[in-house]
Amino acid sequence: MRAIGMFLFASLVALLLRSTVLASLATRGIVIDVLVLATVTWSLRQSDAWGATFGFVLGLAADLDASHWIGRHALALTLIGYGVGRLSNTLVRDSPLTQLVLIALATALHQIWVTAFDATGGVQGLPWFAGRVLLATVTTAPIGVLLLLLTRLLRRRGGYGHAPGTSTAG
Amino acid sequence: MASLLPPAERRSVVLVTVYAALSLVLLVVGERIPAAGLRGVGAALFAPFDRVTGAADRLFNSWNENEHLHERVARLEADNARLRLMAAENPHLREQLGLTAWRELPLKPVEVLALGGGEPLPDAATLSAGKNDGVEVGDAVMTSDGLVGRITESWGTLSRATLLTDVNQAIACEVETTGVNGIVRFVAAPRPRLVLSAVAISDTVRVGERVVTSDLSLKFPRGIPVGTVTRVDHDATGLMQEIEITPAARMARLRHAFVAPGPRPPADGVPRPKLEFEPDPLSGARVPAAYDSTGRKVR
Repeated sequence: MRAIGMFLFASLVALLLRSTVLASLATRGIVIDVLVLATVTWSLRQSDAWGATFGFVLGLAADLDASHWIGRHALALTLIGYGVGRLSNTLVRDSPLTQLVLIALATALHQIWVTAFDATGGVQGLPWFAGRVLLATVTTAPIGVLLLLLTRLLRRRGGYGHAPGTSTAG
Repeated sequence: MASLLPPAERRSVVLVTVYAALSLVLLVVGERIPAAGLRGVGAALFAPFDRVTGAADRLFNSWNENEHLHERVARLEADNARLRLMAAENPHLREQLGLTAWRELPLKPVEVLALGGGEPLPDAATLSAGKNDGVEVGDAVMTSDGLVGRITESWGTLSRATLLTDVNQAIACEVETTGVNGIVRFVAAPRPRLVLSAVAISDTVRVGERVVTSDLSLKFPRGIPVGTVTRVDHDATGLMQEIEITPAARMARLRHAFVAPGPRPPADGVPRPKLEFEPDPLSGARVPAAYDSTGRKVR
């Protein structure tokens, strides 16, 4: 029950941030991919099945908010949630470097996938396309790591419940 | 029965496959799903949280905004004094020319509760007024600076506006000083920008000129500022111009807006352009007389 409560709370916060503060930032050119951030954080905490479910629900909510291409966020975030959930069993999840790489990789993949739907500019559009993906990656990844560190400090313990915090690399 | 269930790992693979298949199906048939109702439910659920977040955001920015608004009020008061003089002589001149009187736009103030939709730029906004407040699909949404978008979904107490940044939005516009007509649309690639297209190469458009909604528009009232020309170029065919414009409304600062009623669809549902000298029933302006080549009145 508590897990479902957390699930709903995390989804609500991510969607609220996306539609208010982060939307204003995006119009100024600062893109923070909160959907990926929430999915990766959740998947690191939970199992792959939970990660995929969280990604699917969050993605579907974001898709319904958009007028076109329903399913594009849901598909990408499902796979990211599942992938990160699987990897979290074999990675040192408490390591900031691991988190940085995971969030950066997931953000880049999500941004490439989402931008591909709008890419109509051919080769001319490539610099802008690459710039957008890079910008989102370099802003989202450090912010994500900082948030995870902050959460850990506030909780005063490792936030990852389903395995020891310093599991061995596989 | 339990023995038939796959082990945990296989279960999660099945789960992911189901989610992925569902997402792919939605990608294919999603456009046919009537999502407006679902969005309405979502907007109603999120509205209280959006209001709280919005209030905190406004509080945070109120000092700067207050300073900016004071400066703007002072500037507008000076403009207003000059415009009042012009407004006094304008009706006489229009009457002499046989032009219809300008119809004032009844503006309804609304709050922008949330932005959403597009990636990375939002292309839709949730507004704090809906059908119960007289907000209808097709109404124009604007700020004091200019056009923001158009109402595309209206529920009881909330509505959803599609912003200028939606790639499917096309607005009939004209260059204010020269009357050159074109269509403003948002282009996402190679970089996001507003473009005034379908302007013949022979038409003269200069950087710095203002672009406003045209009388030819079936969706928007005439004369709402849309943007300013920042770059004039040829399109890929070399036959038309591609004019880049900066939006008049500050899309990064959408907190309050106004809804102006757009043209309502006719009873038969078939949209048609307005006649050039259609009399305005509100003002009672007369239809200008037409003359033939010998100078005789023909109607």
